[in-house]
Amino acid sequence: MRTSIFKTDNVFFNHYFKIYDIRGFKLILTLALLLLLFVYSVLFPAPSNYLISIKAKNLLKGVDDLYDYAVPLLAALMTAFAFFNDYKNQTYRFLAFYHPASFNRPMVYRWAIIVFLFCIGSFVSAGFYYRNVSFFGLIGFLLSVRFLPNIVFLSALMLCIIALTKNSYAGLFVTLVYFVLDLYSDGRLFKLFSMGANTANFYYAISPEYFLFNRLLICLAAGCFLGLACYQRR
Amino acid sequence: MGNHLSIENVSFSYGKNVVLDNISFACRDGITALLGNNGAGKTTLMNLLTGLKKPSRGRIMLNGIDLLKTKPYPIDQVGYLPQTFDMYGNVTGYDLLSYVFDLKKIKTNKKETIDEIVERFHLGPVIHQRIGKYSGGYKRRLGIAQAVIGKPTLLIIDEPTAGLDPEERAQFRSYLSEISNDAITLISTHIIEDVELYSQQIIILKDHSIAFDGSVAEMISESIPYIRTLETDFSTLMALRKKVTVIEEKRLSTDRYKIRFIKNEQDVADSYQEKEISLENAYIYFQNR
Repeated sequence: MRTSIFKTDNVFFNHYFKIYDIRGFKLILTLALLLLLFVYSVLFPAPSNYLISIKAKNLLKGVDDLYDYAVPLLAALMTAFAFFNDYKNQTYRFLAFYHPASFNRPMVYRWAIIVFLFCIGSFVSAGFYYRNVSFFGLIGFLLSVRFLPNIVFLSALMLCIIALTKNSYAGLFVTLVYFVLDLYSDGRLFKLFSMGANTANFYYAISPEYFLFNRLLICLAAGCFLGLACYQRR
Repeated sequence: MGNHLSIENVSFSYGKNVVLDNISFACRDGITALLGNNGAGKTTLMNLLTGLKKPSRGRIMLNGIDLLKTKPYPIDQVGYLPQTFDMYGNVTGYDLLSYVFDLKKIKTNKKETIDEIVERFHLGPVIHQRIGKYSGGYKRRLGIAQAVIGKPTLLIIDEPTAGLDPEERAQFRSYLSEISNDAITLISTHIIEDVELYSQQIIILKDHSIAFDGSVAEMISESIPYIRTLETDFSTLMALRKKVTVIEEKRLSTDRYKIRFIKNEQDVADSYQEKEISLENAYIYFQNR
């Protein structure tokens, strides 16, 4: 049984660039976006007084919202793009027949490829973005890694709404509404479920525990969204 | 011996909304047509047979194997062509067949098997093109080609000839006749003409249950006694429409009509029973009786 599952997974990966990402177009597009992000991060780094600014409990709009909001939005839009054709012509029914397990692993893999690339790209670029604050040190690592839950969360939300409604436009609508409301309320509307924990400086403005709990909840919510999206209701 | 499919006491509901209520029937190799008005439960039944949905009760046995209890669902034994078969437009036909071949874990030589399928369904000119460029006819042919890869014992085909022109429909019918020789082929359709030409067995779904299960000849012979014919004028026709269910009207001259209707308790003067009726007449009778 287990061998059979892995064989099916091998089939998925062997055919990935012939069925799900023809000639690697989505991969190239993702890498191009991440390259742009990297170039931007190199050219326009965060100010060197960044740590002083956050300890002064300042809002970090214009500094942290690039990685708090813009990069996760790009990842979520890539997710919508990758799954758009599944629901345009009911292709998902055909795919569901050939992947009969109750948990749709090919869907997870397709989502994970995008998210993984964005996480790596975001982590590396953020390292350069905060190079004036800390470069390749523990602080630099923490400054870069704190944005990753947002990428996972927003793209999982997009996937979940698309899969549940079987409609890519519904996914775009719900995700963008959440995104805009969270961005313009400076994290006050969704509080613990806000993506803007860094921009709104939850760590110093509220408390370190609140900040960490927010990051944890965002990750847990992403896991729930992914489970809801990939569990095939029969 | 051949293959045998039996659906035993199958029910399915969406919450309190019953879609299929205690359905039972059996079929063997050959074409079985599944008829029914919109909302009768045809697509739900197809979804149950393909493992896309699970019934609230009952079992589906294919050659003695319970399809619902087999994990994972045996895609190597079942071929499926959905009504809207639209794979990603930029995938080539060959790549799709190759993917399906691998997913079904078929043991034969891959290239030989795909080449044979391509030749059988005359897909040669387009097989390396993107599916988005295919005509409706080629798309259906590719759809049936992917379904029959690995010679499944059960084929489930939803609206096989919908949207095809008459010539393509005729060709598709011949493909279906050929593949159904050694496979149970269950077809859901609205096109009665097709059913008459190729089906050994007809199942009519009505009000979430089976209203008829038998052959074309049996369906017609069961309906004949209840269908009356009358030649009449327009005013009588208008009056009759309020009393009986008129199922066919043919204008003979300016004010002369030949009509067929379903008989009820009151007989209509001058009406008579014909020796032959169409399958469409019989179908409408079963939907209205």
